[in-house]
Amino acid sequence: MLMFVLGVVLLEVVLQWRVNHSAPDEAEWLAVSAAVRGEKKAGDLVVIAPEWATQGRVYLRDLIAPKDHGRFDTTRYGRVLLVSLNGASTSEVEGLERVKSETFGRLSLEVYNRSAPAIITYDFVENASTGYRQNGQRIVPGFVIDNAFKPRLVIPVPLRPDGVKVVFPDVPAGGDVLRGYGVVGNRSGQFDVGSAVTIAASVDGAPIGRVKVRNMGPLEPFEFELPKRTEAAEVVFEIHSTSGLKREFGFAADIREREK
Amino acid sequence: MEALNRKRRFDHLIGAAIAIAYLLVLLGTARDVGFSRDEGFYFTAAKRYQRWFDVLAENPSKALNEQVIERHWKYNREHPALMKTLFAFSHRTLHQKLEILSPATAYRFPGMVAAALGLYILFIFGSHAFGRAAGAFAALGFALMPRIFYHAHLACFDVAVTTAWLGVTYLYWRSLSSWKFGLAAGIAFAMALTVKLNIFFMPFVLGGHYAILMIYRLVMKKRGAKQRGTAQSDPSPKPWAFVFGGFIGPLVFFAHWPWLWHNTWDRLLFYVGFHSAHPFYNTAWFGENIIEAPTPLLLPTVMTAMTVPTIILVLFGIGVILRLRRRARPGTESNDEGRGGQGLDLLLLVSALFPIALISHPNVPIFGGTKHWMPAYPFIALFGGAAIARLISIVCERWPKLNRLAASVVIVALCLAPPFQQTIQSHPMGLATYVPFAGGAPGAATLGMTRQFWGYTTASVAPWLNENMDNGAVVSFHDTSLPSVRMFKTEEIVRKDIRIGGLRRAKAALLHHELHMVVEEAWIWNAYGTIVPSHVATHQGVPIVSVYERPGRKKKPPIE
Repeated sequence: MLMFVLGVVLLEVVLQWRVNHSAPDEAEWLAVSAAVRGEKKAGDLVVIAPEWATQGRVYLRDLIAPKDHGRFDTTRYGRVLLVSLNGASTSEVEGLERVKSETFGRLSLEVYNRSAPAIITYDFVENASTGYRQNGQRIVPGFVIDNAFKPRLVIPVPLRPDGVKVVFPDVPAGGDVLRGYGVVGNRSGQFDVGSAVTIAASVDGAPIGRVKVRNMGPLEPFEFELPKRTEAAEVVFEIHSTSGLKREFGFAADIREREK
Repeated sequence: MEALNRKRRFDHLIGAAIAIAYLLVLLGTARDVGFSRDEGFYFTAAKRYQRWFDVLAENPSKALNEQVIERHWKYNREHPALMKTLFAFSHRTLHQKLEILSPATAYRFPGMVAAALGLYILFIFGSHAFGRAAGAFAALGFALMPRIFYHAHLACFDVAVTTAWLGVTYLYWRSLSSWKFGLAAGIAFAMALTVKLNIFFMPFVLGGHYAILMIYRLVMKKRGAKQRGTAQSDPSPKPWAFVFGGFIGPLVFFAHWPWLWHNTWDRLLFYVGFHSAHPFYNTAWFGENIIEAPTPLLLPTVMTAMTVPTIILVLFGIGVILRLRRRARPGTESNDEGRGGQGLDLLLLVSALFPIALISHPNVPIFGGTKHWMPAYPFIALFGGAAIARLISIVCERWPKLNRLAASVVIVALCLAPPFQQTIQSHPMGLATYVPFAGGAPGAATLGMTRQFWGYTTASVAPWLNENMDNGAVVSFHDTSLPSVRMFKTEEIVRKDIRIGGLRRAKAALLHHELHMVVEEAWIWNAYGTIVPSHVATHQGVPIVSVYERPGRKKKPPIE
């Protein structure tokens, strides 16, 4: 019994010492940030692992754009630059090829390649300033938090029983698929109960698809086939809900080439 | 007999020394610990109650008027009045009159005294039951639980009710053989009722223990068998604690709380009803936000395992096994040094398990970290003390030439090393602290556990605010309650010219990191158009509070 107790004491003290010395200092953060700044190219995604290490944004600053922070998935990014604290990783680099790794004390920078990133021809959130709601109101992208407490950058839409139209009058030609997500916002950990939210999309007045978004469960993308176009077109999203109208809601969508 | 009396007097001196030392440490470290939400409410309550006592002193008949009582005592009527009244008197005496403590520390002083008193009782209890080394380990082990150390600083009720539960239990145990202790238990129970609602469950716990004792005696008598342990010399357990407690308790409870002097029944019903239908508050549990029933059955047990130093829990387990094995071997002495008897082991075990079992019910709201089952912790520490006593005996039997006192000191010190290390490192972020076997704060954050609550960690970003905010800047203090922010300013922890405002007006916004608070962080991102915080306070590398600034703010140095 004595040896067991002393063993627990020793192990606990050693483990606590390790915890006490696990936090990177400012020099390490500055070093890894400089390395990311030197490495990053347009189209790269910078992520921090573990997710809770949000102090990394103090150092990485503009290297993590709001649209990247509020991403729905990583399919569009050709490379992922992972800033890792004490070897932590993220599911977002699973299946990707690690091509580079550099260590800065308790931090490391790992670079992952995606062999065939999605080719995005138009992003509705990035081009939100060109769109408007049916009453002429301008659209300003904003963050909502989904049911898994992840931040998502969306086009916010107030829910109305008679529906809300979000109009993009001049969407350039190109791309095969309109892909997107709808997300019901998570207000303070509680979900208002309400009906599913319907998103319907049309191109130059012709419907191309309709989907129902529910409160709970993992976010699933919707995809609508696009008609062949040679000219710019008007794309309209119509958002509709019969109840739970106080819920936050937003959607994000892009037009991309079909995966080969 | 004279030697025993000398020993006991010395025990009281040792217990008092431990208590006073702890009190001094709490006083010395108080300023580091920010003001929690609830403290803000209790500061306000104390002020209001103090004003009533001022009216009482000037014009007693006016003070008894129903409207006057309502005006002063309606605030925070969901908790009884003792601690808030003590906060008020302490503030009036130690700050306003004697000026020996700052306003906040003066409010907090009774809570700290309650914590220190708990250590004294724990030492006496442990010493009496299992020997002096056991008592020392129990007292110091409890004191050095990081979350206890944090809560012990506060003008709140949680450590006070833990002390109260412990005190009543000890006196009840002694009362089984003595009517004088029965009277003391009755008085203690009455006072405990005025601390917090938890005490209302004690009659069930102690009554159940008493019933089991009586049934056991009856059964043994019928069987004609010799009773086990020292029970052969145990007098029949007396119900003095219930007699005195049942009589004194309701009287004191009514008398201490002016709010109950009018519309008594309705107000009592409100008091009970408030807690029986208590709303759920957010609690993070492995990445899930718990905001409604059913709460996870294992949450209290797992949180205890993740936040109480592991060596204490290991010794608790060993202590329980040792004591149970002792009961299985007839005719043995109750322990190595102290005296047991009167169902002590059962009493300690039930007292250690009941608070955790109660709150484990899936319909009982769980929030506030581990504070609602803290009354279990002294008893966990006591079993740890029992294990320590056995360890010392093993060592001294193995190496007979060793000085027993020296061996005791070394073993107790070694076993207290991890709690000491963890408590030192936890301060002042007690609620963000998890044991190293759980990976500490980083491990808990990765697992998705509660990182904090109560908004007290504003203290950690106060220096940054003071250095970087313009004169008269408006700051959104997020989860720190308004009275607590005011106290930060009164204590000059936050600059007095910094103004309190909502997100729309604020030049800077705090964000206290909790799982569900990311919703409010998103509000900041949307309002300020940035996801980059200006400053982040961390604990073991885990963000605790972030400060966002509204872009485009021109910095001006504050006016000296």
